Amino acid sequence: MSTITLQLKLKLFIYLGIAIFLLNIPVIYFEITKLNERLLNLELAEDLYNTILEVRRYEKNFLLYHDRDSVASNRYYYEQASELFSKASAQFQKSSLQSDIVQLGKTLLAYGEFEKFYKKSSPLTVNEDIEAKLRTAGKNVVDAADMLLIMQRRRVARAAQNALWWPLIFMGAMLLLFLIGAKIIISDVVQPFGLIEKAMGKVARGDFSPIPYGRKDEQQASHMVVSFNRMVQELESREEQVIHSRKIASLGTLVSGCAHELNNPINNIVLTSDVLNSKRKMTPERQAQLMDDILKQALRASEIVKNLLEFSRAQTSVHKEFDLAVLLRETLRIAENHIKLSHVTLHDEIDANLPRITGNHQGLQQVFLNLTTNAVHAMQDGGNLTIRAQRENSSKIKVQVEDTGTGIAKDILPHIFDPFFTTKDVGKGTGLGLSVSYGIIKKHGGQISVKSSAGQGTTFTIILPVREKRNST
Amino acid sequence: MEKTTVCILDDEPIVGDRLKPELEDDGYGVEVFTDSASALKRLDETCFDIFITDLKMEGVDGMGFLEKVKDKCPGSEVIVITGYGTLESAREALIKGAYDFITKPFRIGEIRAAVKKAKKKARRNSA
Ligand SMILES: Nc1ncnc2c1ncn2[C@@H]1O[C@H](COP(=O)(O)OP(=O)(O)OP(=O)(O)O)[C@@H](O)[C@H]1O
Ligand SMILES: [Mg+2]
Repeated sequence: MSTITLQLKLKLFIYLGIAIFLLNIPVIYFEITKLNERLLNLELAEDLYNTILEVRRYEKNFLLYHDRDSVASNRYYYEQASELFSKASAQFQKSSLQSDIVQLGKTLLAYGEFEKFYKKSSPLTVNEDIEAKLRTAGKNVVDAADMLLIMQRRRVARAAQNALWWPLIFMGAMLLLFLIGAKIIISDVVQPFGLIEKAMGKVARGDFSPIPYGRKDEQQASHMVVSFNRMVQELESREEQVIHSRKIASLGTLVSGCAHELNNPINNIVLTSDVLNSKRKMTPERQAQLMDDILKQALRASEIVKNLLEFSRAQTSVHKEFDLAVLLRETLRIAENHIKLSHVTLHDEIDANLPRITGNHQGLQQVFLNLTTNAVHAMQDGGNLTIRAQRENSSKIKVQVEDTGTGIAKDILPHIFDPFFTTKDVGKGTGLGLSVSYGIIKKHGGQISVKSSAGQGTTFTIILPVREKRNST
Repeated sequence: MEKTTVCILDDEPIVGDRLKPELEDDGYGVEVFTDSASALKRLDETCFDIFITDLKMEGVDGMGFLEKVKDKCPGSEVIVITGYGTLESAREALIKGAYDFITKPFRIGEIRAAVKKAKKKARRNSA
């Protein structure tokens, strides 16, 4: 069973939010209408109460003065009250105040009974018994009306409270929804994105380590991290392949240079052997010198072969500590033939006291070989090639490869580090030299940059970090 | 009859050192140089009958030296030796007037034979 995807989750949240919002409107409308209605009814209850008070006022007057006017007013207001009551009872019929209104109706009816006494008695007197009963009935009516009023006031207060509370409850629900949504977005999207962002920075620097990500859920963002890691792995193995194919290409340059270089000691050995084989007489010293020459030239040849072997055999990603100055000189020795054959004069400005660095020996050798090869290619009619290496500051070494060749046109300058970008003829350049060099330098935490003006020459600058070791002196 | 003179130019000192006594045994007057600058200086003073020059050198290389020799001493013959013989460089050397083109490694006998033939040619030139 698959769990809910992030997209679905967020959709759900949005729909829920809209539903809550939409529900909010009728509920609030309903509450306010109710409040309004109850306020109107309260007015009615108040009118009724006040009218009943009037009824009782004239009742009291009558009992004091026994006059006809009071009776007439009493009856008038009683009629009024009865009218109001029938209105009210229609209004309150279905409300929770039904029992109260029924009670009020009963008391009003009981009070109405006393009408006949007013009519009959002449002069306008009532006996004490009836008077007491009248008072009680009047009091009951007032109490019932008062109760109705109080109850209605409470209902108004409750309706007002509800009208206030509902929006608050809805707002609270929305807020809660929003918070949960935000939390999901943060943990499922923002955090993985943050990780990916960081990792991308590392990839740009040539560091292909995967993202450490513990979650194994089905979230899309997690999928993204997983596929990102897969991509990074793929990239890394691709890079190894590209470096490898570069190595084979460089090997071609190297082999032809070496073949030339190798022929010199072999020629020396052949010539010396010929001399030793000839019947010519020579001193034992001369003979010893010739033998020694053969040995020396044989060693020289084996040294050249060793260089070649070292380059072809060395593993691409083994890191070790070494002296950059030595590496540069070795590289120049490998490229020497190529340089000389192109009438290029080499200027060695390598500071011999460079701090040792840790890195990929073979990789860096390839970088400098690529740069010098490019420089020599750019100087078909000769020129000056300067290799400069010095300490930039306590934590950096700066190496520059400067040529006085064709230079690079402004419009192609941004592309020279692109893989397979080449201006050379098919078969002459693969266009991988600089892109591979770029990758290797980035992997060392370094930088490679280029300055060039067409027709004047080109300078490649490489900055490599040094891990400072405490120097006791 | 005057001795035939031979100039050997190769930045590998052993080449001159081994060839000189052998060619002297054959009756040539031999001078050895290991850099083109000093060889050119000597060229200003005298024309050798035969030049043997390596192609790959710092400064003026064998091809340049060949041109200078052909310029200054049209009657002299030049034998070009090289460690990295390509068809192009051989053709270029021959077009520029080299008498022979020998790739390293070579035997002393090859050089002696080449010098012997070049000597005849040089003689004819001056005759
Ligand atoms: N020193 C330089 N002077 C002039 N142009 C250069 C220099 N270095 C590089 N370039 C330009 O940059 C392009 C890319 O160089 P890059 O080394 O990546 O490939 P390439 O030399 O063409 O082929 P290869 O893969 O054999 O090295 C070259 O084709 C060339 O146009
Ligand atoms: Mg290149």
